[in-house]
Amino acid sequence: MWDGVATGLATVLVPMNLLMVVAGCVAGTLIGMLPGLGPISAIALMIPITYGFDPSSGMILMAGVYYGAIFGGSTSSILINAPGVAGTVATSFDGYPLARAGQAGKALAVAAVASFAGGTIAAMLLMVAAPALATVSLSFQSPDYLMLMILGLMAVSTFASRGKVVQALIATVIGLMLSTVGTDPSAGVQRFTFGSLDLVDGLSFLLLAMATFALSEALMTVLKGDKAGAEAEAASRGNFGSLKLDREDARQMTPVVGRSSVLGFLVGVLPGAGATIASFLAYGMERALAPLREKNRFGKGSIRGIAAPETANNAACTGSFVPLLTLGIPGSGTTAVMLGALISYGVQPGPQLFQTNPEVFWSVIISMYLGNVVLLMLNLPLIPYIAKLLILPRQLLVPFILFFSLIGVYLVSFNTFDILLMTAFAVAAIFLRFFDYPMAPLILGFILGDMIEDNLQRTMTLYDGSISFLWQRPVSLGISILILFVILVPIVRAFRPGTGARPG
Amino acid sequence: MKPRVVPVAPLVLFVVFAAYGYEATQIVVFPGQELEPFKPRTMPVALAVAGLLFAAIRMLQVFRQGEDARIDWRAYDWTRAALMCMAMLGYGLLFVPLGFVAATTLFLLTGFLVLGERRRSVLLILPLAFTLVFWALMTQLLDLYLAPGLWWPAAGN
Repeated sequence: MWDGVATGLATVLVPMNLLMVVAGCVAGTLIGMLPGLGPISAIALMIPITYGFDPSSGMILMAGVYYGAIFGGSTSSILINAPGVAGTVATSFDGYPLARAGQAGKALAVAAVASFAGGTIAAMLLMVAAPALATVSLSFQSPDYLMLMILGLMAVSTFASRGKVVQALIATVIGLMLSTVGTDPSAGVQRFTFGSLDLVDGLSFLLLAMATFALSEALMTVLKGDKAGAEAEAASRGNFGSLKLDREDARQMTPVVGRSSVLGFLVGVLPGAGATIASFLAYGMERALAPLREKNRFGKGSIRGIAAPETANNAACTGSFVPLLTLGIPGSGTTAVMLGALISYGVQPGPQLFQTNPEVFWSVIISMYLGNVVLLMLNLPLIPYIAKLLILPRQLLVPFILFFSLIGVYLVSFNTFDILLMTAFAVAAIFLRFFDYPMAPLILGFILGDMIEDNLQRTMTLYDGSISFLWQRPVSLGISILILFVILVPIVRAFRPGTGARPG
Repeated sequence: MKPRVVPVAPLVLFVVFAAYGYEATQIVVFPGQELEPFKPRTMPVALAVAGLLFAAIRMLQVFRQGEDARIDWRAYDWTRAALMCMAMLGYGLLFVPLGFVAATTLFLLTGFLVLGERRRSVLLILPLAFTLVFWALMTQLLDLYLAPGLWWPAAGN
């Protein structure tokens, strides 16, 4: 492991890659602060910029953007009660009341320190867990991978889209269907191209990610007529109070950070769970564990109430890299976009990545740690200035977001057909969003589509069209049982009296 | 009287999945491939079946819960969103004939106007200045090709 750490350090600690960490964190914070634009959009917007980079630099930038976007989301949660990212909704429960009480600086400092601690502890856990899992997964065969990918899709549909499971499953199917457009890789047959040369190579992942996230989110802002509110204007004036934390704050935060880091990391490793669920679980856990006097402060500006979700969401972000780096299977929409980026750099994530591209593997892990340092040392003191972004006029901001999304895709393909196709997909995405169809399963389905078909073909060929691999291979059998569990959980929840949940 | 529920989205998706399924059955299978356990149309057909099944389940859910009818369509600014979509389509169509600089300036100007920007100084300076800086960065610094335009005599194509 220490050889790997040394490799990672040697890759990251060059001026260019250090610049990537800083640039990624700052850019991610700026984009993450804008309500409506989350880490997926932030990363998608960065992909065209990183096309010419070597894979390590590209991934270092993306990891920085990921962290920065989560931190930026926390900032808008605390300052204006408008979480830019779902994973920071729980932060607003106590962060916003504390900011309203004139202690916005303290709330931001707690969030930054908790994020730093959560990310750091999780990065250490990742250093141990990722190589171990990569070694185990070397014994995986096509049927196991197939079942693992199906598990990822099912988990994202059921856990990450609670209350809209059927819509999430439909979105997954749409994503998988879109992945079948183009030339079939095994027989060379054209599928769903309708004779168009522009579709022969299939749809580009970047095009779909930009259209379904960046473009459709910007157009949703137009549809809703969002404007910067009075709270955003007040925040932009930068009267935050002190950013310092005292000994009592540190005493309260320490046990919370320890517990929430481990919880967040474990939740992040599970496919489909991610930062949002981790932050809510950690918040609930700390409220349950807090002494009565402190429990009453939850929802009114509790330090523990800010520290718990912030630690957990950063730890979960790190945890979500475990399945991506070791199995090549993304566990969330954000890591799905990163997987697409890795593939576009010519790097195939999976157990082999650990051996074939150790510098990518370890530099991502090390850059996560450095990203946390940058967020604490650089972004926190800059918040009063970055907060001015909250009042940027929407009528100027939206056309620029649309332009960067469109030109980003064009600069990769140099084909204006892609601009037209993106517009069509953005309109379709808005239609689906209106009816509560989540976009993350769609993009995950699209990215995994090719791999699923490839592994399905190999499995069917190996087992002569039989599904006996389900019980002949212990790993496949174990994963199948997990899939069954994932399917049964929402059904049981729906029929359990008193939960208020309903099927789908 | 309870408003009648129309499962708009599941119905549309059902039709899309049915069309996809029909197209999937038309995928060419080469001689000798018929007996293979996995053909180019295997996964698309399976996906179409899954899609139709889920869309049907969703339709039943909507009939039971009436969710598709709860959207207040009048609360949204459809005109501006539609105009922005048209601006994007126009940008795609005019990019090659007008060239990057003119098409981008026009797109940004249209976007600002559609979304309500009325300050003349902003409208006159920002789109062109931003486009020129971006163009210089891409073509001079990164050496990337950006369409110069077919309609200009000195485009140098």
